[in-house]
Amino acid sequence: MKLKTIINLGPAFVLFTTLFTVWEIFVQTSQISNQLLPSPIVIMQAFFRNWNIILPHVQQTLIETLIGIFTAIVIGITTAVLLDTSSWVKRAVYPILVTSQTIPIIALAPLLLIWLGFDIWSKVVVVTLFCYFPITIAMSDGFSRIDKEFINLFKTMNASYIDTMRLLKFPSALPAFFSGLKIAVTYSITGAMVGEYVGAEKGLGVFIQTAANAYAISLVFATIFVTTLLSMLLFILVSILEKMLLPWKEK
Amino acid sequence: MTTPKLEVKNLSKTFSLNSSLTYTVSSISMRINYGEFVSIIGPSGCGKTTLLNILAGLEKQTTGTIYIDKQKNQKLLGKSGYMLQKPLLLPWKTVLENVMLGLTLKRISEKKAKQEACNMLKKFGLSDYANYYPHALSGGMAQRVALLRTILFNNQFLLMDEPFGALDALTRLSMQMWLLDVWQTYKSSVLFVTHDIREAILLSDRIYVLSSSPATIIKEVNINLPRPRKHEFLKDKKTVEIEQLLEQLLLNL
Ligand SMILES: Nc1ncnc2c1ncn2[C@@H]1O[C@H](COP(=O)(O)OP(=O)(O)OP(=O)(O)O)[C@@H](O)[C@H]1O
Ligand SMILES: [Mg+2]
Repeated sequence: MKLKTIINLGPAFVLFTTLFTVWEIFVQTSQISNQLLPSPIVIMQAFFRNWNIILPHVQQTLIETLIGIFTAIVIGITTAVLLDTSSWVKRAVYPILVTSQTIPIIALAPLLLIWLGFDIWSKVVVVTLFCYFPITIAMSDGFSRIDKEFINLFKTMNASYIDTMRLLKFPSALPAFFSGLKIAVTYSITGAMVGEYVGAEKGLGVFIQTAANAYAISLVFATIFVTTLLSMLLFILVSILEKMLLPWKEK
Repeated sequence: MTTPKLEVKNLSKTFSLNSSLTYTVSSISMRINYGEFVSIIGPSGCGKTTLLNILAGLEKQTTGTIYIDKQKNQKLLGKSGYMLQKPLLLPWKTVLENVMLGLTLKRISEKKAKQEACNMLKKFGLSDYANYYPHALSGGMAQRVALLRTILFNNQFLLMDEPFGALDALTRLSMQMWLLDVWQTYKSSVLFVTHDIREAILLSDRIYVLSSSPATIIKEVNINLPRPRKHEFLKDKKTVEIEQLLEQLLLNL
């Protein structure tokens, strides 16, 4: 099992290493200054040298992100359950939901700042807006993909609405929910940073701006590196959670 | 033994397709006595599933009356155990938990439900599979689990819609005997839909033959073979005659 995981990750690892090596060689052999395009090694040095400065910002962004994801999960599942109550509700609400996705969240961020202020809540809402849609749609599709015969089976056994939800619909939709959640968490850190860009005292979004304003390009790259790392970490965390909650999908 | 578990009078069901009414089931009258095993055979698409859906309470008849235990047109959902061709086992639950489902829905305590399900698995030789997940079961085994789940929910009145239709011939043979074993234990009243004439003869006390759409009863045949049934009975001269009669009936539809 372990060996297989390593083998599966092999190709991706080789590709990554190759890309970074090419990058490193390109920067070292060309005349581009490290001030403009730092090489991977320089970026890593900047990262480790400034780790203790970056850490509080990481904490801030992570807190906003986690609260935002959690809120999105709660509201998303609630919406999906409501959409499932009748085909009427679904036909009315679903199009609105999709349309609302075309509103650029970046444009909403300044408004949220005005309404909710500089502290974490305006950022939490941005994260929630980023994560809400994929979770809701995935969960709702999960509900509607349940085999009609299962629903009928529960009906013939006189199952109540709550029992049908609890014993059939939720477990059935769980795999779909996790697909949605995986997409959502990869967006989430970016969401928090968008919120911070518009106005905040702390967080990776603020830090990256400060670094850019000071022309500390290697620090900008180091922050991008941290961001991808965090997003990946969240993704892996969700995957692990999925494996734990859906043991029957393994085999 | 003459009071019927189920009595159906003049049952019809129409569907409206493209603004024209089509009968799927047309004035069916039938009965199932307590503890009786009754089969329905009929051509594909004639309306057998529709009939069972109505009896299970999933669909509403257009006209006609249904009596269960002499009571007229009551709420039918939950009055029967309904089993389909697909086992419909919940993939995230073990065999034991799947068998318990009916009891869980009846709000019987977890401990008691587990106890009953365990006993049942033991009685019918499935104890070894109690902690398996459905994906690890063969088709026949999954169908056995589905039957036990159905029985544990309602062992008095069973509706079965081609439950062995998806199984290979050999598995079918052992499933048929196993079903009779289960049925005799609980003295259930059974309505069994099948395409397989020999299966109907082997299992049933009585067979209704349906015509193709709209479905209506064109023949009723009593099977007077002794119980417990054996596969050898199918080679009896009298049985073969019945088989040929039914075959002719279905071929000429
Ligand atoms: N909701 C519906 N609307 C319109 N027509 C329907 C509907 N449900 C079933 N029918 C039609 O009724 C007829 C009988 O269907 P049914 O599934 O009851 O037949 P069946 O005897 O069970 O067939 P099979 O042997 O294939 O299982 C079919 O022609 C089908 O197209
Ligand atoms: Mg059918």
